[in-house]
Amino acid sequence: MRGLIAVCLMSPLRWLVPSSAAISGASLLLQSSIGPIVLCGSASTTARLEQLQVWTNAGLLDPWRLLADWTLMTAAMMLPLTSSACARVAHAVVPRLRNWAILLHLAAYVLVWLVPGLLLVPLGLVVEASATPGFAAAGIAVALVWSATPLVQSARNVMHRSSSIRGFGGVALLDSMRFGAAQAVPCVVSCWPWMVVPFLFGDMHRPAMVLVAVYLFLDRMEPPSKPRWRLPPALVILARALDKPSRLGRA
Amino acid sequence: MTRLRKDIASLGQVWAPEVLWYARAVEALRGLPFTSRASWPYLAAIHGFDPAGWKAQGIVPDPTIVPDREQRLMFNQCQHAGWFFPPWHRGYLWAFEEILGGWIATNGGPADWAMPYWNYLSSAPSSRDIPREFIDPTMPDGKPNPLSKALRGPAHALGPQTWIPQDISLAVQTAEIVYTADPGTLGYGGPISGFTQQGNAFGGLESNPHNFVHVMIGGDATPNPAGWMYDPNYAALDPIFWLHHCNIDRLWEAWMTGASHQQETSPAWGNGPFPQRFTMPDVTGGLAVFTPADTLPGRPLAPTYDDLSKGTGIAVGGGGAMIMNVGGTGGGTPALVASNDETITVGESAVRSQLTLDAQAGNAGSLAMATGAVGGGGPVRVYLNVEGVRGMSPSAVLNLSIRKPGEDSVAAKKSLVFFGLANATARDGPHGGGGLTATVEVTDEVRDLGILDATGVAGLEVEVEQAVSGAASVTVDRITLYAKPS
Repeated sequence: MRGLIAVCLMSPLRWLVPSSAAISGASLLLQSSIGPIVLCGSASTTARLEQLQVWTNAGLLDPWRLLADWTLMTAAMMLPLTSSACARVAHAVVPRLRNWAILLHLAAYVLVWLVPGLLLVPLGLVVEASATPGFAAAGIAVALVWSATPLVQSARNVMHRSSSIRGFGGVALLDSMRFGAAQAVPCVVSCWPWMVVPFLFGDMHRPAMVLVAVYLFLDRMEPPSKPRWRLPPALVILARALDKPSRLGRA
Repeated sequence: MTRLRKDIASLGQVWAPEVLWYARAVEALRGLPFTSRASWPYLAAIHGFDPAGWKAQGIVPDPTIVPDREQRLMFNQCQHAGWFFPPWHRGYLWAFEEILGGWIATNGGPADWAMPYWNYLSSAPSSRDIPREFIDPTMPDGKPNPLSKALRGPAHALGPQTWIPQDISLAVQTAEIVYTADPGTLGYGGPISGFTQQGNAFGGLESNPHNFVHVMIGGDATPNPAGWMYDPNYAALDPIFWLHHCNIDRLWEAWMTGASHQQETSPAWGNGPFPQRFTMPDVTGGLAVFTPADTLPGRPLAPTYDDLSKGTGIAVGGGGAMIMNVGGTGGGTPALVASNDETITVGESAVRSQLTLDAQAGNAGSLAMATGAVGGGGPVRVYLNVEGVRGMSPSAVLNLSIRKPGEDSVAAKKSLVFFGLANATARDGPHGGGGLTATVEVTDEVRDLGILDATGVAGLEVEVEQAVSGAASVTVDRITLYAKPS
């Protein structure tokens, strides 16, 4: 664990994690200024769903509002997962383009995630309205089984793959964006059920978001492996953390 | 009990007792079932394992006899192209030596048997020759020699060949580099990497002499199958692998005694890659883990060598001051200064690619100032990177010719060895298909070409040719120059 912390401090995580926290905090500020945030606001589930019903009945449901909420939620949860890719982009381009390349890379990443949001947001709202403890457990089970599939392992492998990024000029920025999109697609494949899981936890959806983000981060840590049915990497890591093997060379 | 590792050439005789016992142990361990963690194939598979190929070559009759879970935990662990290369191989060698030493002690041999090393860079005239004990078809008692029972290339000595014109060298031992490389530059141990059998870029020690020795012994890989030392999935099956890595390990040990050398000791390195662990079999048949910190001098897995100066390039070995650096890479921040703009494919014919200097980099007298590289203030060092090399051969050797654009005369030639290329290319394999990167310092060459003064030359040309005739084509994501203030 000390090694993990040390590596994190040496990587783009040292600014990605605070950024993620800031985005999450921004949703609270929006909550206070423009009323209940549908997806991630601090209002209770009941209050948010009631507000949603009011807007729907009045024909005032604003898809752009939902889109903004989804973007905030995705960015807050996904930013830490982009650490290796951001490091790759930063290294690949000339210094004066570095910040723009990373920004465009992340923008492309989040933009790709907007597409599945068209389905996942309504799905999330529906499951939130129906959520019971048993339903939440079932939802997590579905997400875990999905994570155990060979398809998802293939997607994880793709996320470990580097891509050629040209070093300067406009093409460097285009390549950085292309890399962001190429990273986001397998991310969607592997993570989409987990983005619904927080909706299953009602008023506890914010802590659930944090736990899901940590879970997905651990999932990303495992190196690539042959696609097969397998225990999700995050669970393997947690099991390994409890294991106390003997040390080579020590009596 | 201290195991003192000695130069095989200094043991006093051919087929010295240490080597005889090694041969007996190899033979015995080859006779153990694959499921035994002390068996020769099991120990080799920890480095790399190709189930279908091993079965086809009759190395193991049934690769599936080792449970899948055990295979995933123990096999294909070898650390290449990253900063864990030296410590992982040290721990691997230590575990191997303990297991063989245990067998030797219980079968009438010395309790303190130690693995000899092959000092191929010593000044002795025959140092480059593959030791005779690994060539002779029989042992002194007339029995078949297990040390020569390996698939190899035709060469009986290390050194330049027609297909690989560059020699092994001790340049890395005295180069002004620190252990950990910044991306785009060269470090002794390599760049920061996670637990990956094929990481990003080779460190200096791994590049030369390590990779060169592998392909020189494995041979020109047009024969199929390739010589075992040419392929990381087979290399540890060859008994000479262990002699070679013993010397590589000794070179690292010697380097750490150099007064100006900075060994990485940060927790990020010392605690090893999270979440994976380096796991080895122990003498009881169980499993044990180790970290890179365990391999540093004075720690449990630290080896003992008879000599650290002969053939190491280190003038004063075994007791000199050691500066331990914590997590630093030294000097200023490196910056990209030149690049080609397309992926190239290198097949049978050489490919010329133009590297264009970043337009803004050429506007100032000093490349370091122009690139905005920060820190340092001393001379600029320039590194050529051949990045994202992918191909289906077990390894590849690329010969580079560096020129001024439009000229025929060659300013510099470099050979780069991509050991384990196929493993790093496999898209659904354990390496994600990212390919390999090799880095060489070209400060003097580009200074002579005038690039560092940013006068006149707007770029350079790099011609890339495959060394092995008939080899499968390779692709190169890009070729770049990085500049780093010292």
